[in-house]
Amino acid sequence: MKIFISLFIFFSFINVFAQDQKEETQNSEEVEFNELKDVLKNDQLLESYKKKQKIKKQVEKKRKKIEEAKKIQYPTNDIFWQIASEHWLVKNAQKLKWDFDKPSYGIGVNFKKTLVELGFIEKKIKILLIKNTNITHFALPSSKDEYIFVLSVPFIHSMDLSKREISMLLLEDLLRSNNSYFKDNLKKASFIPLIGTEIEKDQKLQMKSYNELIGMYSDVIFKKGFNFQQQFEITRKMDELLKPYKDYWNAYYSLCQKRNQLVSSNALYKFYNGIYPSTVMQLSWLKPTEKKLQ
Amino acid sequence: MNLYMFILTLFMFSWNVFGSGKNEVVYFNKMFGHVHNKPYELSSSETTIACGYPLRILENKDNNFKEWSYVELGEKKGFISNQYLSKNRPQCFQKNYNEFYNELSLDLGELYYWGRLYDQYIQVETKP
Repeated sequence: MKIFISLFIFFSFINVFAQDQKEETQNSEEVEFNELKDVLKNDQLLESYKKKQKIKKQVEKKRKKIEEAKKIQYPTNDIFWQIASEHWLVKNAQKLKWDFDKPSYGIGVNFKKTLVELGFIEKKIKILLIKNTNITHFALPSSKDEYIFVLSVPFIHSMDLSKREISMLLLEDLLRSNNSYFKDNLKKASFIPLIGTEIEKDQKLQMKSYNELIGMYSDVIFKKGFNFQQQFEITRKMDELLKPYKDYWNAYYSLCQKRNQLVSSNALYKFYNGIYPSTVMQLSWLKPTEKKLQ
Repeated sequence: MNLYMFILTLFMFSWNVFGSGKNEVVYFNKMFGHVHNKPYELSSSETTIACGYPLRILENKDNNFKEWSYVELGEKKGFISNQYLSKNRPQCFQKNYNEFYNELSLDLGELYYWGRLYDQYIQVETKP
């Protein structure tokens, strides 16, 4: 009996002691939790705030997209000119006769080599050979650092141009393109201010103006061409650019001589001086000390 | 031996999935173009395609032209120049300026010639 009571008391004591420990632990846990609770509360608040901001941004983005979908975009300047030039080439495919079987001639490779040597890096070149004699050579407007050249095979054959001389011919057109001479001829077109703009969904695109612009391409290429001042500027630029490179300068001078000879003697190319004025004056502007640099 | 078999299996698996490029879906990345019946630009056209068109690359043991891929679209098969293919769907003019493009009202002849333009261009890029 005594043993039983002793044991009972002993175990009760242990239980109480354990409870105390537990309470103490609980209290300390509570205390720790209280300390943590504020931190946790703040973290969750911050997280919740961030989540709400994210949702707000997504909603804003969607709303903007819906707003924009209500508008119609005209192509931006960067893409428009490439599309317009290619559209003109497509519309005049049968007139220009560019869809024909031909050898590679090595023109692209040689022109690339020339441009790299002269420092024209990161340029995209597209050359389209044509069988037409009504166009001799032209650079059409395109995207930034991109060029579309049209080059008549009969024209270059008539002068028996070397690859280097052909590269000089293309280089002249590249400089004209850099100076935006072609685009300057189109600046009065009513479509020009519309490029890159947007209109409301219920409004109509000014396609009549666009078609007029494409028509003006033909005017510039077949009738108007360039003026005397522009020819002078380009000739001087070519002279400055090529003077340090004897072979290139000589090739350019040779091209000018052959061109002048062709235009003066061949009735088929009598129109040439109307598009690219004064092949005779180009020779005098170049004014070499000797006929060819030694 | 087990290690050897394991390495061999791994190699065969990776070659089939990544090495050959077969069955890969690619996208045409110019305004318009042509799938040709032979791997050169002036061969006849199987069909005209527009920007963003998906094409499946097929195996062609006879194809020694590294710059061309033998592709499938629908029931048609043919060759297309690799420079006109992208692994990701490109940004296309037709999609970005959908209303303007529709207003161009290109007829079938113009679509055909626009594709031919990219066959006829002599294209170079000047890199240092």
